[in-house]
This record gives sequence, structure tokens and C-alpha cells, in this order.
Amino acid sequence: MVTLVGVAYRGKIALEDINVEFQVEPLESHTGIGFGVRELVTLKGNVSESERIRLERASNFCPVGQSMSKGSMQIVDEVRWSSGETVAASPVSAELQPLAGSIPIIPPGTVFGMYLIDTQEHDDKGDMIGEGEAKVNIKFQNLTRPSRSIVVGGHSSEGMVPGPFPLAHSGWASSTVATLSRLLPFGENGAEGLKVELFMAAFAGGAREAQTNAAEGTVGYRNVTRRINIPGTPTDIPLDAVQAALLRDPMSITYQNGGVLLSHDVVVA
Amino acid sequence: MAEGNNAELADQVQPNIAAQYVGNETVNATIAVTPGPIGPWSYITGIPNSRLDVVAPPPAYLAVAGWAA
Repeated sequence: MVTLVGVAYRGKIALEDINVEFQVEPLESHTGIGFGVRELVTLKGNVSESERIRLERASNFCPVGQSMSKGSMQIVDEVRWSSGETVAASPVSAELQPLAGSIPIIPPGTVFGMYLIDTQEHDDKGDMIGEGEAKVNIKFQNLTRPSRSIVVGGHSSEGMVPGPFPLAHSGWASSTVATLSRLLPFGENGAEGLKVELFMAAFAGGAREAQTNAAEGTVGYRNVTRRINIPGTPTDIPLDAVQAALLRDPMSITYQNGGVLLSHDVVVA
Repeated sequence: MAEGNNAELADQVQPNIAAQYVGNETVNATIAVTPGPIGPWSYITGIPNSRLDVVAPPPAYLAVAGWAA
């Protein structure tokens, strides 16, 4: 959302407000993704059709959308056991089969983002220096009842909230932990000590270059090293078991292959 | 163009993001682990299961929340 706010501002598009809704659906497919999303972006303001199309393209190429639907993340994996050994886990053999076992089902729900326009920041000349923040309401079906949660993300100079990009990747890292906790043969202590760390260099051009890429429909590739810390030894939990389990992780599959975006509409209200 | 060399990334002392299993079908993720002027921010996510309600959204929802923001 804040990407579109920045693109609109720099393109002198009279965007007054914006919200976005994702419908999250569990999926059973041969790709094993496990879920799909339907995205509806609603623009408010005096936005012409050509401007709407420009913002639709920017929406397709926002940094998070690129990582989840266009394979922009160049991932290198390494595995470190608590016994001390560390090995590279990329690339994975093409013959390796996904590890068997049941993984967490992603329940249906919605993710609704509202732009907090009052958090937009300007300098003394009135030029926008921070796109501001978005409040995101999450609703999902829990085991016995519907559940709700709120997350706030965006760009603010005070650093009150994380940026959308790291927020999304924290979900990817958590998904990796969730999947491995379920599939790997941990001992009597379970998955205690299982940890995933992401190492990413800062994007050289910052938010402005990311917004330029989005406006132009350009994929901005990013390198990331994912370190998977496994409790135990390589004898207890071999490398190929970790690699095979990663082939089942819904978020990792999405990052590698895309395919999560089932529909995408950008409308002017 | 790719940003950041993976060999350089592996030399980073601290990760940007860390996620850890904390028991009871729950994962704790922290953004901005490296000491700096902003952060850290921590988020709990729940692993859907057939035994108990999760205390927070599943991880995929946190990722989609970032997409929405």
C-alpha cells in the first residue's frame, strides 16, 4: 500500500486514500503451495483510467508482491546443527523428493489494510519524505472460533513500525520454522532450539528505487541467506531431510515459484 | 539486478530477521535483530493444529499483512 502512495505522489496522481483486501484461501494443488490470495485494491480520489493502470502495474510489482509472486528473492540456504556443523544447503538435488508428513493447514480468512494518512510525513517545503503507515486487520478461522489480530507496518522516520518488506519476510521465516517443526524427526525435546535466521543486505536504492521499479514494472532481485539452526546432530537430522522438508513449506514454495496470487483487481471507488 | 552478495551476507554477524519455535505450536519472529536506531519488533504466529486454538495468526497471514502494508 505505501508503495502505491509513493508512486502516486511522485507521479502527481491525486490519490486521496487507499485500502487493500486479501482473501486467503486454503488450496490443494500439485504445486503444494497450500494457499492462494485474491487481492482487491481500492483507490479513492480523482484517478484517471491511465493513472489507475499505472497504479495497477505498481501494485503488481511492489517489493513484497514481487517476492511472493515473481520469484524476486534469490535464496541461499545453509544448515547449522547445535552440535556445531554448518553446511551449505543450496542448491537442492532435482531428484530430492518432498518429505512426507502432515503440515499445518492454512485456514481461510481475510487481511484488510487501511492507509493511515495522518502518518504521512512532509519536510518544511511540503514534500513527502515518508509514505506513512498502514493498519492491517487480520481475520482467520481458528480451531474453535474466528480470531482477529492487528498489525501495523509502513515507512516512518521515527521507526515506530517495521517496513512491509521485513514484515513479510518475518512471516516467511516463521513459516519455515512451522513446517520444519512439524516434519523433522526431533527427539524428546521436540523442536525446542529450532531457529531460522535471514541475512539480507540493505536495498541500495532504498524505498525510492523500489517504487521506481514498481512504477516501471521491473523486478528488483534481492539476495538473502537463510540459516536454519537445527537442534541435534547431522546424524539425528540429516541434511537431505531438512532440504526435503523445505520443499513442503508453503511460503518457501511461494517464494520460489510464485503462483499464490489467484486474482488481482485495482478499482477506483 | 541482484542486490547484495551471498558470501558477504554470510559474513554478517547478526541476521536481520530471526524466527524461533517457542513451544505450544507457537513461533516468535523478531525483525531488526541487529543493533541499530530502529526496532526490534517481535511477532508471534501460531501453527494451525488439531488440538488447540492458536494464539496468533498463522505465519502466512503475517506475510500477507506485509504485502497489504
